[in-house]
Amino acid sequence: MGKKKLGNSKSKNSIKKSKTSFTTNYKNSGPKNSSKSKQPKNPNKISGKDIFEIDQEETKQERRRRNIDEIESYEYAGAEKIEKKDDEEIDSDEAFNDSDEERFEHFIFRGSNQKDIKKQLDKEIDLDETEEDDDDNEESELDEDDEEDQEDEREVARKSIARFVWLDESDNDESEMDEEFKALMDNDVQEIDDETKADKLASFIGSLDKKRKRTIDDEISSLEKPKKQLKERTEAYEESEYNLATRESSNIRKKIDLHDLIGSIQEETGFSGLKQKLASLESGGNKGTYKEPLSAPLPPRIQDRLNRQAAYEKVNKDITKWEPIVKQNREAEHLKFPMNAPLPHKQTNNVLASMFQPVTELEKEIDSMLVESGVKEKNLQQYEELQMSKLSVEEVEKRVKELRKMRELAFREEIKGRRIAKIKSKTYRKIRKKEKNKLDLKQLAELDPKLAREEQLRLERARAQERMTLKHKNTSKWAKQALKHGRHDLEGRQAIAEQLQRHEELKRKIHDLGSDEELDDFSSENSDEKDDDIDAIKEKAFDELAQLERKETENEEMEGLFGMKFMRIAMDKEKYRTRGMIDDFIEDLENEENSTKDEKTKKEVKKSTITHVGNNPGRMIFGGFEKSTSEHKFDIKKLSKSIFDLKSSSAEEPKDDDNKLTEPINNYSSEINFEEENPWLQTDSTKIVSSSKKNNKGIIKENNKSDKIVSKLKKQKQGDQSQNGIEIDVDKILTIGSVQNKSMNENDQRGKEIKEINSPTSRSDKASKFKSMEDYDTFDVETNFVHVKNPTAFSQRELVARAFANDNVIKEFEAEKQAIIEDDEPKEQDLTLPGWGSWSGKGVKKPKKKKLVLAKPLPGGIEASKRKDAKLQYVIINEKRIKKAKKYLSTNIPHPFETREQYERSLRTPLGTEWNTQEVFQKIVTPRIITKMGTVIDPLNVPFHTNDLDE
Amino acid sequence: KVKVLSRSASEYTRKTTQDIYKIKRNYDPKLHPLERAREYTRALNAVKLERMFAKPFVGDLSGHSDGVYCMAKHPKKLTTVISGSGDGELRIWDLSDRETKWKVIGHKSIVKGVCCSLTKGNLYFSCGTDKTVKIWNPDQLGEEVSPLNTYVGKFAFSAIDHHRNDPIFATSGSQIDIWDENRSDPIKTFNWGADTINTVRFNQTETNILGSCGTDRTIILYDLRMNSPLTKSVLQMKTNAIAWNPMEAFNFTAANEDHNCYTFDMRKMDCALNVLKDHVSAVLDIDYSPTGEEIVTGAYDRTLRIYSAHQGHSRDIYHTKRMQRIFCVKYSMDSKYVLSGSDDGNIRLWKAKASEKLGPKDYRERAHMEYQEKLIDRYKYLPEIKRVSRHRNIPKAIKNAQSTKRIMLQSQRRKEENLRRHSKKGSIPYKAERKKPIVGIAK
Repeated sequence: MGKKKLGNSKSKNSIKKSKTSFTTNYKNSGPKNSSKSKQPKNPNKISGKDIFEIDQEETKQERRRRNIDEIESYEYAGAEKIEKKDDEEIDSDEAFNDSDEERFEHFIFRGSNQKDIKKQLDKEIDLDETEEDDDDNEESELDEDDEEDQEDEREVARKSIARFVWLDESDNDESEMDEEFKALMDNDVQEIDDETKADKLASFIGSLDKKRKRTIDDEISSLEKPKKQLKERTEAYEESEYNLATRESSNIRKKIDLHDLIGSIQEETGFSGLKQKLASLESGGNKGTYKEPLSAPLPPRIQDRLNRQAAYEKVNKDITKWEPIVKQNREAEHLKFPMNAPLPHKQTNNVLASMFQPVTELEKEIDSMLVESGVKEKNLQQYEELQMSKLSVEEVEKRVKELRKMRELAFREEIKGRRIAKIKSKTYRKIRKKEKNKLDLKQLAELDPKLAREEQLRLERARAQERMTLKHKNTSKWAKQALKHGRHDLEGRQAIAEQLQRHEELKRKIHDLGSDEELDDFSSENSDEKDDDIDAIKEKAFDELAQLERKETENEEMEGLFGMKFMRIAMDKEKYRTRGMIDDFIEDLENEENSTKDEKTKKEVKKSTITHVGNNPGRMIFGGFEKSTSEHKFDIKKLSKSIFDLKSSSAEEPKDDDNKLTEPINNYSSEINFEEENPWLQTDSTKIVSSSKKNNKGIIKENNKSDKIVSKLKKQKQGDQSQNGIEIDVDKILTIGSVQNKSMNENDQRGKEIKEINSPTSRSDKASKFKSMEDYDTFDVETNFVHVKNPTAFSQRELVARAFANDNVIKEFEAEKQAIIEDDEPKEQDLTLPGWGSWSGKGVKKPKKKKLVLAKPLPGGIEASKRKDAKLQYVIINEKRIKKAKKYLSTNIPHPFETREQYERSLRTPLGTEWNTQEVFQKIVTPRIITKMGTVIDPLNVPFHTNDLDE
Repeated sequence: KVKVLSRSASEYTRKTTQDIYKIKRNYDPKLHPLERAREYTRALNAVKLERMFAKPFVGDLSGHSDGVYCMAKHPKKLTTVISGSGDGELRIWDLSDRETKWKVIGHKSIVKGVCCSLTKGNLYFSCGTDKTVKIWNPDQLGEEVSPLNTYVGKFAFSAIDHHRNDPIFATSGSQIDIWDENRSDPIKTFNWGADTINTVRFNQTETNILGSCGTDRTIILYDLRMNSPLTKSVLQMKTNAIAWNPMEAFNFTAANEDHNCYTFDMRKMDCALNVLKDHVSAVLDIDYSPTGEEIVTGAYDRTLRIYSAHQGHSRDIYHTKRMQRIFCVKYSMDSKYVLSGSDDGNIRLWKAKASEKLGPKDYRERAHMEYQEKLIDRYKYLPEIKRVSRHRNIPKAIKNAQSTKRIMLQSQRRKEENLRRHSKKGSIPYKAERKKPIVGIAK
């Protein structure tokens, strides 16, 4: 295709060039040439299979031959003209007179121009040839290639022959040549694709052959000869045996052209006017003297192909107008079929009313009655019109005005009424009702004071009666009776209902207007009360606890069985247990105040899924390894005991306290090396880091100043944060400790007295609760725990160390990870059976290589080195596939979605009615294609006119 | 003051027995937890139910004593279908009664094509290998059933189709002839290439365009307004039938001998738009649903498949024990049913959606069905749902053929891959599946 286009453009260029040049130089030949330039479009392809096409081929070959001949002829003509010119110059002095000159004018003119023509044609023909080649290439099909080659060869041969002929003829008699050539050329240029032309050409060549022997010297004389001949002849061209045939065959073509006809006139002087006219006629090519001839039809095969291509293009263009509709339908969210179904017409009430025809008996009866009474709408209208016609114009106007005013008022009233009706407040209604009643009474008083007073009296009496009779309550005898028996009869029920209603009203009266406001305030008060309530409840709880205690102490002195020692001990234990519970309860109560609700819920959630490691809230295990934790707990207990022991000992020896306390803990911590790794000790580590960085800073001086500043700032921040974050307020602990200390000391002093009195001195003093527990060791420990002499001695590190004293975090974690890695590793199994595949008995050597039959590693195992967490020290990534979850997972991202997020998003919103309103549900659920049962779905209707192909 | 939950009975009681219960809903998401899990379960149940209720066979139309080789649906009458069989018999069927309404021995040999006319009342056309085209009017009175008109051609006819609006019909044989109902000679003839043409089919939307497929593996397109054919594409194997998309004027699908169907855009014939795979034998006939969304195909492997027009694999497969090679299929004009005519002389009526409930559905039932459908559609990518929804019981022969075909294709692919691996890089290019079947396009 590309090639073809190129060819086309070339031909176009040639046409342009030729046109411009010809219009300036040789206007007559303009149209001819354009026709010529079209000629090379004719494809010269042949397929030898078709007989029809073989004929075609012959003609084509001839045409081609002729084409080539033409080229040669032009060349020759050019050369000849130049010669002629020279001759003219030589002879003008000697042989030609004025008239002669005039006579030759035409020839000179043509001759001088023919050079240009020749050049032009040469160019053009060259182009044409290349174009032909292009065409050949383009049209070449597999079966035709060979033929083309042959053809090319033939062409070359022909060309060479033609050239040879023409070279021979170059010395020919010029005058004859001139004449004949002129005629021929005209024809050639005009109609190139002619079969008969070949014949003509042959004849021409023949005639030339005859005169071949003439010399150049004869030329001048011979130049004069044709002039005479011209005068004499009656035909436009030479008569010859060859020419005859051509004339007969050329029935369509115009053999005689204007020049031939004017030729005889040219010599006469009197026809100058006519000549001019003719010249103008001739020069104006567009005036219709020469009509552009039709080009030869293409071979049908190629013509068909071109037709098909054109048709296909046109149809494609035409059918593309469906594209927007198709696109729209494809993208449509819903498609309802049948598509172009007309909407069902909805009839208005008026239409229905006007269309109404009575059908049933009842309707007919009513209709007849209406007709009889003349109340039908038609009659009414008629009546009104009649009435109006009786009135005068002014009256009518007045009436209309009045009506308008009334309507306006009514409208306003209506609006007002609507507004009022919208008010929902009960109190407003109540007030309004009361006001209305009052107003009524007032009005009554104004109108008839007596009656009003009576009315008021009546009202008051009724109220008093109600109160007296207590009819509004179920307590009266009547009410009881009614409730018992009156249930079944209507009146009784009504009476009860009425009574209840009245009761309700009266109650409301008592509450009166405030009720609504109360309702509104209720919720806000509630929240305030709540807190108060909680406090009160707590107080109550504390009171109850205290009372319990009191009872206990009262019951303490027993006799008999209960007074015996073992029973007492047992009871004490029991008491101790209950006390523990009570303490817990108290603690809980106290904690509750501090902790917010959110924390609570969080804890609950965590408890369900996560098990804490030891008493360390910072570390958790997700799913599994309970065993280790339980062991750990045990350890903790032990550890705590030992620590407590330590503390108790320290309490006894307050002076040595500091050293002894810190030493063992330090030892412990050094054992597990958590100075380096424990994140809780970051304050120190960061310090170290920062200090080291400071040192580094000195070394690395290449850094920009800004960088330094930034880094400095960062470090400072980090330091601050870490210190702030992990700072444990030692003072606070100390104060608490000291307070407790004091209280405990007081307790000690008081304790004995209290024991003697056997009654609690102060309820608020919590410490007093512990008094009976002093006998027990554990509590000793606890009390001793507070007896730390110099608490300021706690360094932060120690505190942290102490806090995590019982945690062997890192080691444990590593062990855990190792266990998991080993568990996940693909396992190999020794499947060798002892005794199988080997000899037994005396003198049997043990095989050097023990053959190991290994089972394949189980699928799903992961090698330690390939684990995702292989290089992550503090992380365990579980790579076990959970089989149960597999069925809820899509294996890959389904087609229309591009990312996982997209797909997930598509699943996010649920579809069901539980999560969507009915409307939304309907919208979501509607299928894309909606069809109606039992209706034909026609193919898409045409929204545009399709029957003709428009441009 | 105690606030009591109170609700008036009038809010939830119904006045008459016809009245529906009003259900008050609380949309608080806390009250409806685990929505994904619940909907997944619903989807799973829905898809299982769908499979349980999948009973596509509605009934059969028996009467022909030879195989049914052609069939046509009336474009305006939902229940009318005409069929022609191998013994030259024509029958018009009423689908709601599943009975023959009219029958005649119309041709001396096999009936190759039938079609209905919309233009002149109730006319039916038939053509056969006895070189005749006959026009029938079943409403004609009188005992002797004779054709209204008979056209005698020079060659055996292979197919016939009627223009949607005009009184024009086209026949195919060794060439395409366009006939006017009122004239005895064809008004136009299209010819391109010497081989026999199997099928001719008018476009139903752009009504002047028609397509044909020939025994020389070609698909040729024509336009009545043009004097010459438009284009010809040569495929690797013969095309047995084509069907135009009734909603997309320029798209059509060709049922090919190579077990596949190819959807083409008539403007770009060098590449198929879609390849419909799954059959294990030559596809013999194809038809679009009137909605343009689905395609039904009948094949030599004795099965019927239903495809979504824009997807590559079939949505469903229908088969029965006694059904033989399927030579013609049709989608009913309301897109609810599918018809298949087979070698065993029966026409079978199937539901287009195997598990669809026939008959009226009340609003709530419909809403529920739609909800289930949507759920299945939403979770269709999850393995379990995919497995259930794709599960079909397939005859053993087809199962075997499938596995054989798979092996063949795999080995071909492997060979090609090996060739590619052992030759110069880029010398054996990958060819798109959509371009594979196309040998070339003649101009």
